[in-house]
Amino acid sequence: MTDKWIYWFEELSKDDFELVGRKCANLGEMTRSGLPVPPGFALSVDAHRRFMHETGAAEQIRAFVATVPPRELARDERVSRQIRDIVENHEMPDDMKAEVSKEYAKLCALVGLPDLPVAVRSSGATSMPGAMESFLNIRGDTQLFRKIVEVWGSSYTFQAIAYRANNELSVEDFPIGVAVMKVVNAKCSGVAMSVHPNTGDRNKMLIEANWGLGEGVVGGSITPDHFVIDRTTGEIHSTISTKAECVLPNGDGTSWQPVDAELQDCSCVTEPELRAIQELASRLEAEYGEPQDIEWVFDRDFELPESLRVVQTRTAKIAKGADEKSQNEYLIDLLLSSIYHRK
Amino acid sequence: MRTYDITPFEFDEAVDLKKYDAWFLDGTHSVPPWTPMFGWSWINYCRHGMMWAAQKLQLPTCKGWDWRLHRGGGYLAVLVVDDPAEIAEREKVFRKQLEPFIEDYDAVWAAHLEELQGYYTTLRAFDIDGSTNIELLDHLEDAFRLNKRMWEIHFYFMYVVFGVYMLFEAMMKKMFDIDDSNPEFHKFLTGFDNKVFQVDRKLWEFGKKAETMGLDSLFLENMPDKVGALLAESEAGRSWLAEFNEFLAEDGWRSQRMSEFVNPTWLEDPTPAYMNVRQFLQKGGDFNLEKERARLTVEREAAEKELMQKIPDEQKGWFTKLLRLAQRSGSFSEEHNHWLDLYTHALVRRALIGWGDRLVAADVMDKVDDVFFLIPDEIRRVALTPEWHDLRGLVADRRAEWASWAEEDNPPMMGTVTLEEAMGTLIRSNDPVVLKVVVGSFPVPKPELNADLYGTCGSPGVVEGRARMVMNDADLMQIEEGDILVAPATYPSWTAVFALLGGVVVDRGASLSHAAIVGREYGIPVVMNTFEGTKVIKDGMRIRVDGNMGTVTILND
Repeated sequence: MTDKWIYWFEELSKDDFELVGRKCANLGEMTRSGLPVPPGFALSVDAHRRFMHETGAAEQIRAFVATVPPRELARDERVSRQIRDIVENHEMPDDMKAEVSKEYAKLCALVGLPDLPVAVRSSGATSMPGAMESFLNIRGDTQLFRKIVEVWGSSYTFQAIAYRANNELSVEDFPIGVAVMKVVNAKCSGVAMSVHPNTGDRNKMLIEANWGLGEGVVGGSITPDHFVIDRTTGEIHSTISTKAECVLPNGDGTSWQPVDAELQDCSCVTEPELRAIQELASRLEAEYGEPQDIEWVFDRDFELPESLRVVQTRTAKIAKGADEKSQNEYLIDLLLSSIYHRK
Repeated sequence: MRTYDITPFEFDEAVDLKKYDAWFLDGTHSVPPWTPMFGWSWINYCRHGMMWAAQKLQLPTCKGWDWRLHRGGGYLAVLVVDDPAEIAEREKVFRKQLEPFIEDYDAVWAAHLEELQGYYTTLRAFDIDGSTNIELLDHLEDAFRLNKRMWEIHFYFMYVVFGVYMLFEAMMKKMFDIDDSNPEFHKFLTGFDNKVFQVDRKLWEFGKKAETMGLDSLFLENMPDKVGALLAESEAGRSWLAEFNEFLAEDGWRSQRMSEFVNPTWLEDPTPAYMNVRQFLQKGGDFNLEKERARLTVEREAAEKELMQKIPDEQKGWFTKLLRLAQRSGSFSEEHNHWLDLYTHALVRRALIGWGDRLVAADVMDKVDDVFFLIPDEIRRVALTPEWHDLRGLVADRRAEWASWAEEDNPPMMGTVTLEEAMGTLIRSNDPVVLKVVVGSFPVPKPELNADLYGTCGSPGVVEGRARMVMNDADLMQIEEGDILVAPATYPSWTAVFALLGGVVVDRGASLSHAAIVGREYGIPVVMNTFEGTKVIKDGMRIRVDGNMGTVTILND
């Protein structure tokens, strides 16, 4: 392996997915294209591999896996917990800690904040949405080292193992990259799809949003604000929901917290902000040559347009054979937007 | 004094132009001017039906139309919803209302048709001659109640299917850059059977039957109004008639002008039906609609297959639903005339004629059809004590006024703004019925084409032929094979004559008007919205009709 195993986003491009995983490669590509990505760096796939070997975790896992019948591996959740425990019981080797600490210090200096809150995100070379862990609002060296190890351990979650087993990938040896990036002081966050996911209509863009951090949109029990933008006419169809809770930084992590009563029924995104997201999504779609599924966030510490940050983009997945009801609803959406909405 | 003095809906410039800055003449239905009875019925029930349907559906941007009468013309103003909050509230209900149509249009239509057919059966069974005045008055009220219900159903469907048709147009334009002036567009919507064509087919079959029974010369050598009496003279003729009368008992509930009570129905006077039989005999050969239909069906299926290949898999679901519904809008547009307007109006007419007979017998007035110059309140006023009344003066005044209206055309718009500004309001309503039937798109003159008239495409194709001016039913008799029909508009009862035509030119209309739909089914070019075709073209001229470009050229006088 090469000595270099930490890369700043600006050193990476989308072709580096084998080096640092897809998420980091994308963050790199976007940074290089001048897109508003929060600053940060990536730990390469090799860093994970090195950790596993130097600590002996790789050997321990191999020994443990040998005792488990292959069928059970992808079936028994306790197995994955045991493997993760093996990983998490090891500390990062000191020389690795020193390197990470050095780059983290650079990041803090860049932003101008000591103990800068960062996000620590998994970045597999194969996209397995939701299968691995990401942590937000991590401050200081100690926490950072700990969470990087936990992200590595999350390459052995039950879902990740099952995914690899089903796709004939190596179950026990599957190192991943890790992204370390500034956590945005999030006013609101959300996802944007540059194609209607139920119907594949590329003239429609879908945006969902909640107050606070992005975890409050993709998971959780609240209904986010929902916007459909007609990309030809620019018309916006908004459905504003009551957003009683959102995800905010809390101590050494994040938690669901109540939203102020007067903000619950307000659109959490302004129209100029929606336009900025639309422009960003179109730009990413052009950049990647296919419809994109984007995670974005507005940073309180900046004004538009600098406030808009993109934290993730990937190829949008379109529902195959969208169900009857969503087809009917889509047809009604079209009728309203094409015939009955004022131009 | 107000001209009509029959309803609170008479146009009153001082009041009505304050409320709406423009009122449009419904040239499709109220030219020539309506009789007072029909105008009254339209202004009450058609107006009600639109508002009812717009409210029931919560049509987002339109609450129906207001209507006024002026010199026998129906004038409309569209009730636009402007408040965004109100539009948003209406949309919520509208979404729910649309679902059953998308899920199973045919079932929704069948249920409503069944409801109406129930009323038809009851009203048909009523014994007019054997009824007392009280019973006959109730029967008239029932007929008007049917009229009211018919208009509710009429617009409940029309608002939905025409909106869907417009969406289909918009999506075809957006996805494939094909609009409805493009011949390719109509390939997807033609080649469907419907009740109107089934009636035409039966008429053709009666022609064939006349041929086999040796009665064809009787049809060809005599004027249609003499045919009935002549048929009754022979054994074969009586046998043909017996069957024909059975057909009329079911399908003869129609008069030549759809939006009037004043013309006899086929049941009362089958002359127009005999004329259709005669025209099919003149033409000879097969029922060309059938062959044309088969060709169009094959063409449609091929076009659909090709289209679907261009649509990504994940979009096929909603697109197929849209296509099917858009195809229904064409069928509805044509077929509803038979099942709704024509049938109901024929039954109201039957009740009115019942009163006409009775009032003449009671010496209240002189002629049976004087009844069309009354309004229902005047019948109610005299119904139970006719011997106390004399309506002759009233009827004479109204008849004189009605005759005077026909001498001068009603203006196409009455308002305080320019036509352009007024059109802006119409477009703002997003009302599919306004845009697709009544007003249509305004033609754009293209001087480079060097034509004599510029209109819009109703049905594609190019044809040359002799112009036949058709201002009324009698003129239909003059039509020979290959002629080009020139008229203010065409009516559902004229459908059969399309079998003979080379092309059609009409003063007004849009892509879902009668002439356009029937023209497309018969595969003949139709140019609409020429506005002054009936003034510029003279009967007998040779003209070229270019449905693709929407132009008419006069070749020689």
